[in-house]
Amino acid sequence: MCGIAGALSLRGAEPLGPRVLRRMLTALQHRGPEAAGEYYAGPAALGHARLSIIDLAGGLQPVCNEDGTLWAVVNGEIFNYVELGRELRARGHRFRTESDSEVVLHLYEELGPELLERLNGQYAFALWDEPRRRLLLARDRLGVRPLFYTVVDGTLLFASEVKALLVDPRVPRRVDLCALDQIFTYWSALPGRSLFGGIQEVPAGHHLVAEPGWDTPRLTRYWTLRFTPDGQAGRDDEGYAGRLRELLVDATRLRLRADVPVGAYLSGGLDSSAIAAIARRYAPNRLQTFSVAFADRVFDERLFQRRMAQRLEVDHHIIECRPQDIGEALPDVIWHTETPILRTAPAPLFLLSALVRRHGLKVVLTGEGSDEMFAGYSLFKEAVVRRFWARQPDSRLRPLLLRRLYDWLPELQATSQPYLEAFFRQGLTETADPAYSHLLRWRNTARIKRLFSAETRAALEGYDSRHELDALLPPDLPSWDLLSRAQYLEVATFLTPYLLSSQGDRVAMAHAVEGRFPFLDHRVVEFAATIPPRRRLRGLHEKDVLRQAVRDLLPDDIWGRPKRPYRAPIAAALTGPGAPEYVGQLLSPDAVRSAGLFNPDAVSHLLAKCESSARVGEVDGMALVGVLSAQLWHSQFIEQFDAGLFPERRDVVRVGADAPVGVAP
Amino acid sequence: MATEEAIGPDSGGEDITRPIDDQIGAEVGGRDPMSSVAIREQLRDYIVANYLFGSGTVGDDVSLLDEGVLDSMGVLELVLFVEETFDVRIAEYDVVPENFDSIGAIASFIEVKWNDVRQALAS
Repeated sequence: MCGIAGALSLRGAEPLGPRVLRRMLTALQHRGPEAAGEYYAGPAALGHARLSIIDLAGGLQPVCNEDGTLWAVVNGEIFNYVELGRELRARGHRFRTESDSEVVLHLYEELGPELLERLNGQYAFALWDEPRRRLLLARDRLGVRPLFYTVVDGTLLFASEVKALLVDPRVPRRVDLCALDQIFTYWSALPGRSLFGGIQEVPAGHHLVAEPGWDTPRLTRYWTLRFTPDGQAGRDDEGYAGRLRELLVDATRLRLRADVPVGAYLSGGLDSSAIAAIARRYAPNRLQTFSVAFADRVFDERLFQRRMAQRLEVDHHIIECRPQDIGEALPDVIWHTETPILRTAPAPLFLLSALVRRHGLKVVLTGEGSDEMFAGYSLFKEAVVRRFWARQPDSRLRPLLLRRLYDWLPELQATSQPYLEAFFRQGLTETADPAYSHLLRWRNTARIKRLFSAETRAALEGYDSRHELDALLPPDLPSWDLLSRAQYLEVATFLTPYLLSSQGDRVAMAHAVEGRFPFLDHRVVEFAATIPPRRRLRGLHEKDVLRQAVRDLLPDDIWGRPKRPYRAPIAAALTGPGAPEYVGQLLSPDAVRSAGLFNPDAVSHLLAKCESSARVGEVDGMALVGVLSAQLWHSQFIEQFDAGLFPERRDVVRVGADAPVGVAP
Repeated sequence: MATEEAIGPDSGGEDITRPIDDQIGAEVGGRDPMSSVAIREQLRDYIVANYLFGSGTVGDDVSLLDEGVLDSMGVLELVLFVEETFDVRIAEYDVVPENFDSIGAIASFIEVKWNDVRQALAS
């Protein structure tokens, strides 16, 4: 796990100013504090900041193939490197290291970019093909690891995080207002975009190729999540559960591969408990588990976490988050997420990764991805209930099922039945819309766009992100069943760009901790997508197949627990007498006016409302965190970013033909 | 829950120069009734301040749900505001879109409630 950075001059010139790469690697120091390397070849430059996890002694990067014609920097892990390496060695490939990164090079020799189909992993890498003078950038299927790029002044620059790109003085710092509009609708910019104007990401499941002489790089999708329920396969419930169990065990075992101890997060729910239970059986070391607990009991799940830890007989560590801890951490969190967030839930995970690091661990398994693939979210039930109701919109009985949704949301539970119906009736019969499941949520979130300034509104006049979203969907998605469509949208617009990033990679790597996600093993994901929808969500009983698959691993009360979303306090962390000082500063009319994104009066109204409310509602909470984190983002990256804060990294080892004598290869 | 302080700068409509309690007392006592227009303006000020963060306006007959002004949860705040501000008791069965989905509907609902009180006091 690591950070990568580099550049390719599309004009065949020097790719970077002197020492810029070393300064970019300083900006990625937190991702890879232990070593750094660089490689230059004419128009190309590759840099790597290392966190040693596999092949501690030999894994220095950039890494090359037998004859030094291919060079790569890899962030992340190729979990099936043992099997691939065995295969490649049997076919005559000679390896220099025991690292997982090297398999990428040898596979590329045989397959070119199609090598990606053979990888089981979570990675972002850059590969320089000297004979073809071609740069390949690639990102794993679900986008666990980040990869950003931009083209300025005839140069393609890439890096694991945007801040490393900003170190190059040629890269402008400006806001993409369309991305802001998207963030305040979908919670993140749509795949491919970032909030930084002109800076894009390689989307999940894509690779990008560039060569000197080209005007622009070429982006290609190599993997798509496809739901193909195999109703005809004749598998019964036990068959699905049995196969899922095999896959989950194997996915977890592969993710225990490391030359350092591996720990696990325990949320107290079904998913992380199941993964920890499997890991406990196969981990070579005594398992250590880590949990977030909250001083506020509304959010706290420590009883379930302890219960699971006791059952597993593991070393369990918790960090108790008080509201003020969240408020204090938020500026650092946004420095790492590099995008606004709409809830505070990433902050405790930022603090949790620090705890992991203090206990000397670098790798943790988590249960992320299960709710999306096994239909754990209330959103999916909502879609099913509303469609059922839409078939008889005048039914008095059908809308009573709305009561069974979001049972963890007290405000909704306190809403009268007529209002519940009136709310969920909006767009009720638009069942033909491919995004039927998500329209209400997006519309609800988009209310916070009311806070946009007149200038922002004017710039966005007539803009509708929906076209951009539709263009990203698989062409045949409209013909899929409702649940599959909903799950696809959830993965593409929320899991990958928000959860795996702002609540995943970025807050874990802030403290050089690598998260690993067995539920996101592509074999598990692809298998889940073949389970018939009625088995994924049986009536309104979520995660049915998964529950069967892990029945024996869990105590009854955890096994049978209804899904409860992970949430963290908002108003208590950001308002009131103990609020951090920066909140008032950044939300002051002057600061808001200076950033220009939001309407100063509207923000003052919002803050006053949140300050004086005993309970801050969902939309207001989202608005507060969204505006404040956007102001933090603007202040840190647009107004006050100082490339001078990133001096040349001192420990960078130069490798390659022109490297000083005595250095590999 | 939001209180009048929360809406601060926007709560000073021209018809509202005295404390709310005085107005309600006057109303129920049959003196100097708060006009229908004043009720609407006060509701509008609250709704614009509380749900639109002070920008824009809302017509009397605009559907608060259809126009995305309120969500299903926002109505709880609105109900509490109406109870506290206009001193009416609102039963669960009153919380229906017919009574709360537009400024005009809420104002009528308040007037009906006041009438009920007045009749009860008179009898």
